[in-house]
Amino acid sequence: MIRRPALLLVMIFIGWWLFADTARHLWGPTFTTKPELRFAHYGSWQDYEMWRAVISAFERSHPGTTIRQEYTPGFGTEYENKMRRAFSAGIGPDVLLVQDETLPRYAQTTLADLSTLLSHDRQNELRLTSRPTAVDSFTIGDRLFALPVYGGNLLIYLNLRCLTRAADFYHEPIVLPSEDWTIEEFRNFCRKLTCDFDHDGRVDQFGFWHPWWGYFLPFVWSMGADLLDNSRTQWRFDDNAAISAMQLYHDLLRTDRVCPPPGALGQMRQDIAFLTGRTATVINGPWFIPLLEESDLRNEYLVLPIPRGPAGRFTRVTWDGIAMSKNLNLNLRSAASDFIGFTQSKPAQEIFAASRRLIPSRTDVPMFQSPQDVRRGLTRFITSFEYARLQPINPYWNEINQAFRKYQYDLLNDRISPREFLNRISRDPLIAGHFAVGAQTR
Amino acid sequence: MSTAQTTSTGTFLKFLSPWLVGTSVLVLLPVIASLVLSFTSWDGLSIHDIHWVGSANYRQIFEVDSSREVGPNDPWYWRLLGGIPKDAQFYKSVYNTTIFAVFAVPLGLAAALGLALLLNQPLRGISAFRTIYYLPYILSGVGTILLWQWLFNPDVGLINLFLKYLVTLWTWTSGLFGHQTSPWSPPAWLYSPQGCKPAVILMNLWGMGGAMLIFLAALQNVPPHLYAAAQLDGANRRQKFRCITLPQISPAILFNLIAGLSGAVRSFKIPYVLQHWSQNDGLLFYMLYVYRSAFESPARIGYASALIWILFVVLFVLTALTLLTSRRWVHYEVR
Amino acid sequence: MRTLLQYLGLILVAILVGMPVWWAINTSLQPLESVYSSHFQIWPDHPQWSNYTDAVSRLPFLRFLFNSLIITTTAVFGTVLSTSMAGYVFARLRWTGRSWCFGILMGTLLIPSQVYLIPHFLMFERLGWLNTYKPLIVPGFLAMDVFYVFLFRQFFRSVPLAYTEAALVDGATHWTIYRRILLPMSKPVVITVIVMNAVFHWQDLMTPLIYLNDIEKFPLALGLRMYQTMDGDWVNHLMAASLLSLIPVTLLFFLTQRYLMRGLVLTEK
Repeated sequence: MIRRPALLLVMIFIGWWLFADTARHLWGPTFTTKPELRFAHYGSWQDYEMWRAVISAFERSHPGTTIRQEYTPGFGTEYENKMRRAFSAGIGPDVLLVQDETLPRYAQTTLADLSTLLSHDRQNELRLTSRPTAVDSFTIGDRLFALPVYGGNLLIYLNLRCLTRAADFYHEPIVLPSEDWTIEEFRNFCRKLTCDFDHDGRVDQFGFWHPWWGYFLPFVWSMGADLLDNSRTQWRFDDNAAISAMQLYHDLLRTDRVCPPPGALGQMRQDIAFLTGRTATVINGPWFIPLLEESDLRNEYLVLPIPRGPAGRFTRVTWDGIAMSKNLNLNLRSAASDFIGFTQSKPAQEIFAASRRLIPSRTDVPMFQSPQDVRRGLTRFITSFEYARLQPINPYWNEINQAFRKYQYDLLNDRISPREFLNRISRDPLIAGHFAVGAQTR
Repeated sequence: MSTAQTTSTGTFLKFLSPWLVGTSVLVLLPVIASLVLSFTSWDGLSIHDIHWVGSANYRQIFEVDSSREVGPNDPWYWRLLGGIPKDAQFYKSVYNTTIFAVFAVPLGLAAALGLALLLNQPLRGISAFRTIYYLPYILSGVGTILLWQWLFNPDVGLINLFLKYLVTLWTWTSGLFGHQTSPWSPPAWLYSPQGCKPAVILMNLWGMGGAMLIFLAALQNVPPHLYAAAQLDGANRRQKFRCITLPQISPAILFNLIAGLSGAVRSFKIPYVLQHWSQNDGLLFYMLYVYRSAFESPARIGYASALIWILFVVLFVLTALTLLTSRRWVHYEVR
Repeated sequence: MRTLLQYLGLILVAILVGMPVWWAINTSLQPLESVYSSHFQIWPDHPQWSNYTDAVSRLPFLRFLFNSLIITTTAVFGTVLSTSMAGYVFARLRWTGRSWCFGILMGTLLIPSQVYLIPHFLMFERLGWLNTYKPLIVPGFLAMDVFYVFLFRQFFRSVPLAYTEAALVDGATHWTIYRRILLPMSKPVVITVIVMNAVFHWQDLMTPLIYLNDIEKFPLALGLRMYQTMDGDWVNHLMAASLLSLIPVTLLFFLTQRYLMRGLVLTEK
């Protein structure tokens, strides 16, 4: 038989274990003298260590505040779900990292408008010290939902081994492109890099790969097309420029045959396809660098600029920003402002730059300046901000993405023409349900 | 058959209270909540935004626009509906899930039984083999998706590499006899709308460790004297399998059938991790569609709840039908 | 001759089934640029063992391992206790509404777990259980894995009533019968439940992902995701760390599998 006192003790212990937190949760102290700030972010182990460094630097300079690092490993999607769940239960973090693409969906209901907290002068100063597009990427109307911390733009990576292989295969030297090359030159360059080494009718080395249509946006813009107008409510991706953009999307794959058709590389990811030399060039951001530098390709790759099209030259930038929850008490609010301010400061931005994969939002933080970086073309990640452009955020980014994915298969398999592709997209409820469609504004 | 001991009504509460609390709070409450929510519209953000919409969700799911003609490029099953469905993705997901279940369940059962028969032999080192056969089940965690990416990779994957050897061999032999064969294009598996379902069925097959164990346990518990008696009667191996083994393990078959069926209909993990590779919604399975409706923008919790309840009804009917027909073929020991 | 054939069959199928495992090992020993290469190698020419030390040292691997052990042992203990008790009631006590309750019990097997996602989150939040192990552990103590209840019930039913009747007549309580007679007899089922449930908790990713925020609390399955990024995975490190993390459960299975054969009996005898 079980001895009663022992049983009672066990029951008390279990009860305490189960509900001590509950009691604290329901009746715990509502304010503390030393505020603890909850900061949520996501990413890989590199992101975790980087933010840990930023936090400890902050705590050294602000002894009054401690920060609790709430980290979700992995991609942004699960993090975003988690944040939405937390905010809908009223327990969102005080400060959080946000991606510009996914922000608008919950910004209005959950995030503080930082423009009311920053003086007009401070806002102007911020725009001056930050890289172009950085502050705009978190601005909706006249409200500012986050301050940019770091971002990345898209450039073209070239595997030099593939270049040599292609030159040997075709018995002619391949000239590296100039700084200001055109889309025609780009297509020629890619054709020269595309090889069928064993003559079995299947391409063994592709000239170029853009892994999803979002990475193709720089080309869309350079053809003069755009998804939305400035008000972000009118769908504009239905004009002749859009047709030529989608024609290029199709031709790279079907006419030039420089891009892998769906299935040729299949589910091989672009990082692996590039590392193993299956594609000679890919379009990607600076976050690709650490992986490259850990491989033995570290001395045999180059970063090339984006080519120029009829409408000019553009690269796409995306930013990560730091945002504040709407419902903070005064104490936490000032601590949160301090921390957000700190991420804009030089010491914090230097930590981001040291990661060598994220471009800090401040212009005065040096990055990619060693002779070796210059030789590899990494400097272009900084200089290309001159032609950087933003896909202005809107609440329906996910719907746009779904719509493109829905019809691109038919386009790439010659089942529908580019014009029909555009018609179908703009007719689809995913687009027509959220944007004004039609030519009434032009 | 054993019978239960009678007892005072209070005694069992002490034993059953964990399950009673767990089921009523953690199971029944959410299930009832989802039933209520299925008659509302809610974006999952604010409790104040829940609106009662009656049966609108259910009507929207099944609604078919019969005024428009089904085109030749449209899915064949739209013809059965007699028009263009309003929620094409719902029908697509039902279609995908059905195809998957129809192939994956019988194949899975056969494979699990085959492996179990193979492992049910008194050989030295058999336990090492059992561990190896069970490994996939254990491994089905973090890295599995990367692993399948590689296996099914059209270009460097092992499956196509193997097929390529076969094709080369075939071309070579037919070349000897002067035949010309057309160049072979390797299947793109997960990346093509045609190849993704066979690929997923294969993947599912690989995780049959659980069913295999249950079969193995059932095989080990077949009384040996039955075989001895059959031996005396001069039965051969096939007869023994058909007349002794199969009836003896039929309860295990029934269990694995129900578990496999409901597992296939509810399968979520594989399509979830593969969703970004699948073309043309080829891997849009039912639970994935439910998940997307509930959590991806635009989040529609009410609509997703209605989808869930449709699934419940279907699952319940399927299970009941299986149990009803099982009376004909499941053999219960009578003592 | 027949034995030879049997072994041949076993080995062939083992190769087929074990292929992905072999790939994982192979990958874990390669430098990044050779992963996924089209050159088929049975074993890498220059196995890069440093992947293993790197994989373990870049993350607080031991901390994750410890957390996984804590979560798994507690949850499995709770599951064995609660499901065997429930199984006892369904097998050996007669009470009104038993068949109804058993119907509900088997019905819960059919419910997809995604239904619980939001309600459980809201409940556990109310209780202040977020960022603790309780959402991972407490459902085990509440017999939420009904398949195991079913296993225990089947096993307990196969024990003849006469076995325990004498004890009842002697004045023993049901607790004594359960604890001193039936539970010791059902060692195979207990071990089966331990193994299956341990494998489940060891690789469960979704629950910790939803409920845990602090890296100090992460179990292995969640912690290893730190090797996955948006634009490239550290595949070799991920594989090395995954393989290391799977050793405990594989060992557990290997050591206990002769019990599993007797524990997984679904028929009543």
